[in-house]
Amino acid sequence: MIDTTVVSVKRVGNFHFLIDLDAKVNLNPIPGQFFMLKINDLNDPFFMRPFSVFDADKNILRFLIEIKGNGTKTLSRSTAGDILKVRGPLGNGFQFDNVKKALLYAGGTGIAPMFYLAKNLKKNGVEIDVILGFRNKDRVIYEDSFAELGEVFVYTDDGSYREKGNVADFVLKKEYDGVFACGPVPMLKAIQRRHKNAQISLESVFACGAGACMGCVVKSVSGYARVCKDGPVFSAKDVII
Amino acid sequence: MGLLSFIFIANFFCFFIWCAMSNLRIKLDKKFLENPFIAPSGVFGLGYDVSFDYEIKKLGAFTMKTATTKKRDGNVPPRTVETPAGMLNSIGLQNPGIDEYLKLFPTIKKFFSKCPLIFSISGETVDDFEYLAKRVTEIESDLIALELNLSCPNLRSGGVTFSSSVKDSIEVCKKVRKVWGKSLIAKLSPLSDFKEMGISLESEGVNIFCAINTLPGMRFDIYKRKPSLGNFHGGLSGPALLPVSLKCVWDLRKVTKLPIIGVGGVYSAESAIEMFMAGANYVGIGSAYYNNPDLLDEVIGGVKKFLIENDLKGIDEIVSLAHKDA
Ligand SMILES: Cc1cc2nc3c(=O)[nH]c(=O)nc-3n(C[C@H](O)[C@H](O)[C@H](O)COP(=O)(O)OP(=O)(O)OC[C@H]3O[C@@H](n4cnc5c(N)ncnc54)[C@H](O)[C@@H]3O)c2cc1C
Ligand SMILES: Cc1cc2nc3c(=O)[nH]c(=O)nc-3n(C[C@H](O)[C@H](O)[C@H](O)COP(=O)(O)O)c2cc1C
Ligand code: FES
Repeated sequence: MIDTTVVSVKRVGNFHFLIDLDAKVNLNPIPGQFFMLKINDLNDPFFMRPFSVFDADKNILRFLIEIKGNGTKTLSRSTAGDILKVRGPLGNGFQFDNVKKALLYAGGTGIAPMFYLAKNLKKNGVEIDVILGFRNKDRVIYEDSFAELGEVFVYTDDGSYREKGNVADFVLKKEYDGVFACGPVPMLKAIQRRHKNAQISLESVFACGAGACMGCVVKSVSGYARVCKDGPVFSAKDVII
Repeated sequence: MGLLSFIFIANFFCFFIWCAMSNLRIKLDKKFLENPFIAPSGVFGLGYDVSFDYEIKKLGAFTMKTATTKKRDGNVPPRTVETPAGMLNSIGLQNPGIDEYLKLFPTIKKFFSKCPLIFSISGETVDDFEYLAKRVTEIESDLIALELNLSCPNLRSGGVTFSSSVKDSIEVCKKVRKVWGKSLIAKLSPLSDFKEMGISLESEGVNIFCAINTLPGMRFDIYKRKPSLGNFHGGLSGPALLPVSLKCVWDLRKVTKLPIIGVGGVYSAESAIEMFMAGANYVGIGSAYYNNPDLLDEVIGGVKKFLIENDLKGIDEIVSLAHKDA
């Protein structure tokens, strides 16, 4: 495990916070990879919690976290200087070496791995279109930050901001040689239907987060696959979600 | 004179270091384990294809995920759910089956290099156990022991688990003992009759007991209005299980002199010491590792410190210590 030091914790909108951790070394995470964060030393919550890398720069790891239950609530109360134990980077990230034109779909907190991916694509000079989907206006975050990296299209389920609908309503007008997605299962299913070769990032409950317990499995074309070790990024055609 | 005293001091120093290093070494069968901490079956899979780095190789021995006669896909997800200070799992013995296991074995062996391996098997009939044990003899020289996971239903006894039936367990041990020469471990469930099991299986040639497997349990998702696990029920492990496993080891120790691997909920040096004092000779470090991947170092360091601070020479001195006046 790595002892990281909390550098800062900042609220983002009404539902999320950003936490910066100093890992003391550059861990060079690949976009799409995740870290397991230890919540406390009390054995309760019992599992460490998985979070995708939202951004990384030298020794600093940044996570965008939605407050859901006890684990994320506890993390949100961390303060600068606290020691936070983490394990990672873990899992298979996105593959984007030869991509020239990329289409990114992100639904809700699914924007977390997409932001780091977009930054890396931009660094490679890739042309990027980003489709962001949120439940409503209240939940829209990071539109401007993504706009610095590519062209952004925003959808809200109730139409309270920008386009009404979901990200799969985006009308395809261009050819892309790389399609990437992260978000809720119904959204990923829709992406799977329109892009057989999309790379999609899945979630599951992680106990070990290391590929050992066989707990986090998803059905794949070759039997059950471990989301934490064989994924979390899968080719859309390989998994049955 | 100067040289002599240097040699004397150097020797003394080396002896001191040796004592500090070796006080956790313990015999299993004819081999010395570096320490008495053993990976229980399943918690770490097959060890080699996981992201736990090198730590698990520091264990005294590693028990492989239970193998069955044929490939098993395992249960429908979700397969794990948290409980207060623990977890339920319903993995459903997902494994590639004995043929594939034996093909994978050279890779597993290479990965673990010096860490001794225990092979775990489970069947749906007595014949399954016998068949599996025979197959495992193909790699017997590379193993330290064979473990019988008796916590599975016997199809011939209406689905009652082997470990709930002394008669069925005796039959399994009798048949396996005929084909397996090295140490034989019987892994019991918390629902076993420890008194009967302890006495009967010892006379069937079992050399070591492993206690315990997980305890059956359920949780419910109140928003989905159904059981949290795809398989509805699962097995409890982690610190929440500790008091149960301590009592099982205690009860078992009352009826057998055979070595016991105490497993269930160990989450700290102190809880490992409790397990030794309850009667365990070896201690399983299982799911608590998920919560704390530094656990092994903490337990090894903490137990060594306890021995030194209490003027104890080795683990043997704390095994069953709590039984002395009880
Ligand atoms: C690979 C991966 C990457 C993720 N990246 C992010 C991210 O960047 N930002 C973010 O906000 N969230 C992310 N998540 C989800 C995040 O891990 C969960 O929201 C978090 O664990 C909930 O913890 P909690 O104690 O607050 O909530 P709980 O009260 O425990 O549960 C709330 C919800 O979270 C889910 N959950 C609980 N425990 C786990 C677990 N161990 N693993 C996965 N899901 C769990 C439950 O199914 C439930 O729906 C990711 C999940 C995975 C698998
Ligand atoms: C994910 C998981 C998988 C397991 N698989 C097996 C198995 O294949 N065979 C077996 O005998 N026990 C299995 N067990 C039970 C453990 O070996 C152990 O007996 C139990 O978890 C209690 O120990 P713990 O609380 O330290 O984890 C499994 C436990 C877990 C958590
Ligand atoms: S969480 Fe254990 S295998 Fe994925």
